[in-house]
Amino acid sequence: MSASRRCLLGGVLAVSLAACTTPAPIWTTPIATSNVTYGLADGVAVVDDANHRVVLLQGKSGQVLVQQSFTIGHNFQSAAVSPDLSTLFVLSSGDQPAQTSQDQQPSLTVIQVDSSSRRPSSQTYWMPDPLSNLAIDPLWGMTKHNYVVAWSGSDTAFAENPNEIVIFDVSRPYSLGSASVAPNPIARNIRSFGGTPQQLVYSPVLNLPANAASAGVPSSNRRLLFIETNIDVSIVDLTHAFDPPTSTTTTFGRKEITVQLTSGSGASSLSPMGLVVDQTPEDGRFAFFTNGDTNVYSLQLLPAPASSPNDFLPQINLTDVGGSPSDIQFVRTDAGLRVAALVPSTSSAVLVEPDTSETTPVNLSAPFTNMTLVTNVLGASASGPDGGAPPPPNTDVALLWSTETGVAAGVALWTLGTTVGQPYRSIEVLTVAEPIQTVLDVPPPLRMAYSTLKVLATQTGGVGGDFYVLDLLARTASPIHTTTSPLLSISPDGLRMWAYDQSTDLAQIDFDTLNPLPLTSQTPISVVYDIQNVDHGRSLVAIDAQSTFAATVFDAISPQATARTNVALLLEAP
Amino acid sequence: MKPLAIVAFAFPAAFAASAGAQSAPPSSPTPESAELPRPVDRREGNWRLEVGYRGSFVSDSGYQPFSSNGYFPEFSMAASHTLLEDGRFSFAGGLAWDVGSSSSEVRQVDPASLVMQRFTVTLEGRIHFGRWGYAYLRAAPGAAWEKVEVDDAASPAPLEKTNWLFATDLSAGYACLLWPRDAASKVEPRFWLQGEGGYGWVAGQELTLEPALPSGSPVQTTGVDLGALAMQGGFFRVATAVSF
Repeated sequence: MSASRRCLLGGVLAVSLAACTTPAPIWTTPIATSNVTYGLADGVAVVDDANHRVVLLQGKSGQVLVQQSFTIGHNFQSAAVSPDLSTLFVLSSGDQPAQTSQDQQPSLTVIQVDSSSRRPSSQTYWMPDPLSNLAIDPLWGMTKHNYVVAWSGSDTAFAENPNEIVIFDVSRPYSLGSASVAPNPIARNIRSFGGTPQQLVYSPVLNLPANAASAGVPSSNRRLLFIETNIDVSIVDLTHAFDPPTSTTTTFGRKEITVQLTSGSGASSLSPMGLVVDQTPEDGRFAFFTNGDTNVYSLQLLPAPASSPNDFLPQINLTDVGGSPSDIQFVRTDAGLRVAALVPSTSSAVLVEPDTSETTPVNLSAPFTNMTLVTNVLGASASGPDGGAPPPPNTDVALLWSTETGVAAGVALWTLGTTVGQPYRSIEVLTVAEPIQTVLDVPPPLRMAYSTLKVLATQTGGVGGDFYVLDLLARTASPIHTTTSPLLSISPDGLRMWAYDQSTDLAQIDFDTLNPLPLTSQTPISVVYDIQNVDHGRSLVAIDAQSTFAATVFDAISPQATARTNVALLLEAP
Repeated sequence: MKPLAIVAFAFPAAFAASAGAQSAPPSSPTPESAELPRPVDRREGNWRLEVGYRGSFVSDSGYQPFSSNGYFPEFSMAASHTLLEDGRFSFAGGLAWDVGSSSSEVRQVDPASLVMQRFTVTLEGRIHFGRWGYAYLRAAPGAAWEKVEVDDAASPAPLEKTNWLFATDLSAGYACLLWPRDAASKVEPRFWLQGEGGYGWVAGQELTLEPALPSGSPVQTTGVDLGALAMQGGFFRVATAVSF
């Protein structure tokens, strides 16, 4: 064979081989089906990690879903939704370990749906190190700065620093920063005395330091981040986290303050739990309890000495409540601010005066373990116990319930306006025949009538599968019977709820009538989301998180005979 | 269709002119040298049947759900008849049918398949080299029928779409005479082996698949849009043929 012929043959072969294309990963990679759907107010987000994308499904009239893809970082770690359901945060660990310059850094992708135009957009923040947990600011959208903090979790890389946190100010764009301007996000290491972060809690806006006027020092509004480790509590001043260094030896931001719970002389350690922050800006108080003693730790952030890097320092106060607390809250009583602690082992609650440690025990009818303040939904309309006169203004009402397995303790309303004088008259019990698993809030409603409702989900495996709609104002608990233990979802507009099991059974319960409207999905239901359509109306999206994902979509307001199945959602070409 | 018609008629015209220039007998032969013009050795009859294999390299991304490598195999049949002959050149017209399929498992869960049948009119200009066979250029306009199907577990019926689309091939090839290779002027069955390469073009379409539900079904299902598919790309064909 001549050289020219060989050349020609080789060329033909090369062209043929080049023409053989390998399919894009979007057609070949398997689909992860666990914990990958997230409900937003205006859509449902599905994380398609194999293709480094989030598919946002939005409803249209006619029960049609339209979809849009957003690129996310490599190797999805976790995701969370903002409290107002407008924004999805997706944390990715990137390509670890990075071996080439092409490998991707860890990142946070923020996908936000504009509440008026319903148009989604996204932005990406790169991070120095991979972290697996997210803590979202509960005041998202309500303050000037919107914070997100990424922190370490249990499953991690070969070697990592568990005390590293990365603070994002999502109201500002990604920035590498400079010597005098902090980057966004900013990473910092929490000083550790052997502990690792377990829980992060944001403060409301606080005017710190407390008692500044009497101390003759200035005060200013502040957001704090409390980090509960397994042995101590750290306090990070979020408002000043991006401050430039004050000297060549310091870094960006103010140093955190660590509240150590162990002296270091003993082997036993105490792990802080249930940290709560007083909502009154000027008080500057927070409290927590531990898993190893019977104290309630109450702290106030008072003015610090001038040499301190922070302008506040916590002053600690310990109070023994006679048993291990299961839940605490700051409450306003007729005698002033107290820390209320539930002590199931003594079937009691204890009110703690945070400055003097004076205690007021209140006997309860059952070992209640959980407490939620419902003052905002009852407000001045709350009647006193036994239907008597309303409690004094500016006092709280708490809802108590128990999540202990097998304990059908019902629920109790604790009227704190009459607690100190007549504690025995402050509790009103509503009987619920089954152990309670959780109490679901009905979101801020379009109709104020529903703001006094709570939904009591009962424990699976209990007798039947009832759940209860609790009317705090009327003091009624209406049972809804189901044949199986259902999963419950409250619509974000607060007008209805959905009960479903993981077959094809579904029911709409309108809070107006509480009459269940049974429905059938054409595909098995993994989870349901009640979303606002891009044009008008609302859709109930029942996701089948199997195979290539499908969704049966109903008109959420009038769902009968409106079901339309949208199949192969993750096969749509991007 | 107009440009193709021009191509169809241009081939024989060009071949005829070229053949005239190369092998036309003298216009006024002298009696001494008069002898019958030597027949051109085409070694084939007027009819020709082909059966072969066609492989296409489809680079369009819309084909990726149906193939792991972008290759599309087809069975190929054609029949042609020589319409014009002039010197070393001839022109044949015919019909061809290619059928092939490809399947894959999209995202490792949903079986997906593509079936395509291509019906074309072949317009073929040939230049003959005696017992060594002939080279040819072929244009083949026609239509392609595509059926795309995805079986999704959540769908009450397979998701599918069928469509007729305009199609054209342009190719060049060579046919080798296998047997018998003698008896140049004798019209008898002869067997050929041929190979060609070219470019196949099928109009694109949007793969909006819908469940194939019986009419009147109360089930409302929205299908899936797999994007656009255009079965276009280089191809080769090897075939055996018989002429008579």
